[in-house]
Amino acid sequence: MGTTFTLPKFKQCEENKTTSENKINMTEEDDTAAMNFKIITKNLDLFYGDFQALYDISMDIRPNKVTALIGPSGCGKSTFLRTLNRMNDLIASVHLNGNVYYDQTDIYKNYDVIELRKRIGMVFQKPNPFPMTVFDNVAYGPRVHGIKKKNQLHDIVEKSIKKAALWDEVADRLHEPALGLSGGQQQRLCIARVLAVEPDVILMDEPTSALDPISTARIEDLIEELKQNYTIIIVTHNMQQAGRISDFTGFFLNGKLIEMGKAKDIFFNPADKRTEDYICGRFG
Amino acid sequence: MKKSRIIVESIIKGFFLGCALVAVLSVVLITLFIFIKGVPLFVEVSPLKFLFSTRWEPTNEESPGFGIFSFIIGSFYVTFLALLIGVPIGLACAIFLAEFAKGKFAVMLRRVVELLAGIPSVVYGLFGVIVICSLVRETFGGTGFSVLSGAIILAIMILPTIINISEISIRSVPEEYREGSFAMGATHWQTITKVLLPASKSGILAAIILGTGRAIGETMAVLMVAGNAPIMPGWITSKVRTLTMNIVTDMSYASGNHMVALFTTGIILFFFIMLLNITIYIITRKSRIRNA
Amino acid sequence: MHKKQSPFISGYTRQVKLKEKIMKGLIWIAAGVTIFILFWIFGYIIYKGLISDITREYNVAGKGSTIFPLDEKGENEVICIVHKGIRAGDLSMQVIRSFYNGDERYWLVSEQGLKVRPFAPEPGTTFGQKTRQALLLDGEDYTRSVVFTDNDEGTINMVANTRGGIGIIHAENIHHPLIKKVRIVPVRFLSIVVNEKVLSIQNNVRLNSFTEDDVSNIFLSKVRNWKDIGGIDLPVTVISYNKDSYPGQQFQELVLGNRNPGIKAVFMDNIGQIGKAINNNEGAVAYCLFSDIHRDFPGKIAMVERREITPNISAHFLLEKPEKAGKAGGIFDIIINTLLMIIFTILLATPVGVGAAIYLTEYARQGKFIDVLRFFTETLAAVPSIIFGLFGYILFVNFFGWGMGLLSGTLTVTIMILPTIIRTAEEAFKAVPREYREESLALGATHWQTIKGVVIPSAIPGILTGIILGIGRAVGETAAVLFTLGSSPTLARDIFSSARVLSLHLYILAKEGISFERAFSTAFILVVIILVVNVSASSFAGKMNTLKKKS
Repeated sequence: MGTTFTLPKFKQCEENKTTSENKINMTEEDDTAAMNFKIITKNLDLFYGDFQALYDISMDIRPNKVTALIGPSGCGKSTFLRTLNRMNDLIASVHLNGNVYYDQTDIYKNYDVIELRKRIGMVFQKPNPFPMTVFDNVAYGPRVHGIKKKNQLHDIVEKSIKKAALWDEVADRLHEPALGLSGGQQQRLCIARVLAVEPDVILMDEPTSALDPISTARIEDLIEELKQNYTIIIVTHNMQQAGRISDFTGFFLNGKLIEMGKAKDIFFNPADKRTEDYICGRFG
Repeated sequence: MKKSRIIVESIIKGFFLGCALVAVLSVVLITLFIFIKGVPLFVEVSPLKFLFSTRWEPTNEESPGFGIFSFIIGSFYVTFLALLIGVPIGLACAIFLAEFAKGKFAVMLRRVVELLAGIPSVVYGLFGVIVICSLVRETFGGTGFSVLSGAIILAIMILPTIINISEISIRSVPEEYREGSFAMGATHWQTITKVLLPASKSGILAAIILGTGRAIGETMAVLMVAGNAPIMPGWITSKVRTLTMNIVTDMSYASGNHMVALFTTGIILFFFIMLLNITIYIITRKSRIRNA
Repeated sequence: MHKKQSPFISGYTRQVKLKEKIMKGLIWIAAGVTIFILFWIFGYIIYKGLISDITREYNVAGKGSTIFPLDEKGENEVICIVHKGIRAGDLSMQVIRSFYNGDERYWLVSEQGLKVRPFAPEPGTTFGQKTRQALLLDGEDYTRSVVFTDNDEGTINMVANTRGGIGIIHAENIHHPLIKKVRIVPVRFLSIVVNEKVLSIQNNVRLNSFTEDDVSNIFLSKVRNWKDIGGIDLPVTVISYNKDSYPGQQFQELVLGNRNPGIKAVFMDNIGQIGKAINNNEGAVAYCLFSDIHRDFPGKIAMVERREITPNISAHFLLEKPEKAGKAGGIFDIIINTLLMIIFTILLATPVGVGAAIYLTEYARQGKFIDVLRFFTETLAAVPSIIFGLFGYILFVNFFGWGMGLLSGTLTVTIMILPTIIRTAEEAFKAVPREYREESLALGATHWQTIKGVVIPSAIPGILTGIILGIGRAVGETAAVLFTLGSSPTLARDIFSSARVLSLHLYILAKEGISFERAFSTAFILVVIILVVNVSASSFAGKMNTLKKKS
């Protein structure tokens, strides 16, 4: 349990990327096309016990883009998001059919769940910083993954908080309880916490629904910035938001993916009548 | 008509208030009576001598000795050892019930904890005399009636308290914390030790303190297994007398100052219990404020 | 085709996962240990409560025989009869002897508190003289309680009509028409005798007693030296009656069991010769009739262990009064006392506890006052039972002058279980859905009518849970009743009379070493009560939960 194990960690992750790219595991013909996608789901069905929540979802997520998932509440978009880093594993009654590929590797068959979640981080609807200091919150991920050196931790924490555009606000309160921050700050702290693990993909489950408009705007700006280095998938209720920030948009209804495409197309030229109804607010 | 109804309603309300005040009254009376009975000892024996002398010879007519220091030490010794044994097991069970428990094994453990809490202390004592004491005798030598035997029995007796309250406080940690930790690739165990336990530490602390209170106040079971010698306890195999044991043992024949000294012992015991209780009150209130 | 890939895991993750596995394992072990502890305690108490398995030491060895001799010649064969109510399985000659000379006045051997009423044939007759020689050491007289009878028929009649009666009659009367009115008990009458030296201490070694196996091994010459069975270093010399002599045959049958091939030993004709042989030989061991041993006998009787496995709990135990401080008889009175205490306690504690809970949930507003009430209730719950005991002693026993008895004890325990009832009832009231109350109030019912008509009825299962938990606590309580309820093991006559309850009985039996067997059977009853309490409490709690789910 020494530093020998912890030091090469980040390198290892990169090696991992290359190794997993070498082990392409697709049976479809369009292998070359598939290489361009960060995450691919194929015919994904998901059940809560007997209740089917997702029907036959096949979706491709492009790297370094913001993909927004929209749809009325209960349509399965959050559930879908949670399948991408296997958060649904925590619910015993959930089982699923179909495949989810991350970097061409089936995450349910050939990925260790811990490693997967290091690569695919998640930000939740309600800001959920742990009841500890700001510093410890951000340092939690790196610590859990074996980084113990103080200065290394400090660098990571500072870098992550800066990336999350929070540094100016918390630089002098790093050692105060995170629960003392405002809601918007807390949410950006949660993003910083995810960034500290150096993920590849960030999943966001309605990250601004509990926030005021100003905080929301800041988070949206942040997302805009982050997409240069990360692949972002965001679930949102707010259509304007989806329109503003997303490159690609998928519309969910009753557990089915109705339409998926470039955000422009979905919002201005939807192919499906139901999408149009929803976009125009004609939907429940 | 309406007036009479209001009168009836307020009489009824008064009755219920009276019922609620019985508990208050009882605590006040208990405190009052034990103090009235026990404090007069200090007219003849200085409080310091009572607390810090180890000479307990209440029936010595020439110069009776009323020192309960060895019983105070005995109480804490046995309790500390009981916590040392009981807290790890209890905490582990609480974690098990809150985090891992699935299916029949968990249902069984829950039942077991309920039953353990229900077993009368004399039954624990009987089991202790026959089983634990002989185990201790065979393993560590001595008579078997010892600090260790008392501690083992107490450890079993405080398990339900520790398990129940710790489990509740671990469970009451918001689900979002667990999700947040898992989403960052922490293992279940890391989530437990780094997020859940720190977040529920005030509840766990309260559980331990309640357990301490139960152990210090327990009488019959330790009385039967701990040897009851009015001496300063030494190694874990030595006999020991605790505060509670001191009260019970001499009560049947004591008279005069000797009797008063037993009530004074009661005061000391009561003092410790109240101290623990107030600590819990402060801890839980603090956490309630923070959660709100 | 898919090729199975092994998932990529970094070294650190692997390490963390291993640690997790180990810790999870430890947690499972701790859970297992807890379950094991309960099964251990319950299993032990239930086993010991149901079965008494003890090894006792006796002056006599071997099995009992219905027909037994008064002396070694075997001319006077007799049977021992007892009153029908006596439950003894068999008796040792030693016990019979102590009955007749007054050392033992009660039927404790059958765990009954009855006085022994011995009947003996008139000492003037030949049979009377023989009997007296067998039943008493030389020169002693029968105890005064011995009643003389003229003949066997008289003895049978007297024994049949006297509780606790015991008598000796001729063996030929075993088919007497009246014999059905009495019980015939087998008697164990053969003793193992040794030279004093065998039982002496040497190098901290001492032979205290023989097992039954030791006895047969000695007489079958399998044991050559006393040290082989834990004694001192001394060769064994076996002395025996002639094989065809009366005691020889009896020994072969009753002690060795007829399967055994027979004794290799120095053979003697009578008790006199055996005594001399033992005296002359340091490692000597022999057997003889217990009744032949008199004061001048040179040897010592060796104690023989017998493992006795009997049921420890019976209808008699449950339905008879305790006798001789609990050593004999049953625990009927104690069960009734316990019931009385519980009924009174519940009658007092329920209205007060439920009332307090109603105030806390239905009337009081959140604030300082309710905080204070809660704090005091919590404190009351945390007060150790011994403090309740002291308090009850000062207030009820002394201050009010009610003395130790049902009233003082009940009041003390009532205060003790109040917090339990308050807390559970409070939970129950809180679980009653708000709409129930609102509906009732909307219909124009007053606050009290709402509570009476809606809240209390729907909270009944929860209140019952509290009562049952209270019963559980009251049943097991000892320290608080020790100085308030008194310890008289008889039925309480009025509310002031001292009444021992189950838990206290158990404590006294164990602490004063009266009988661990009976302590275990009492513990068994307590444990069964606790089991019943637990099962019924959780079934009511289950009902309360369904209500909670509805809301």
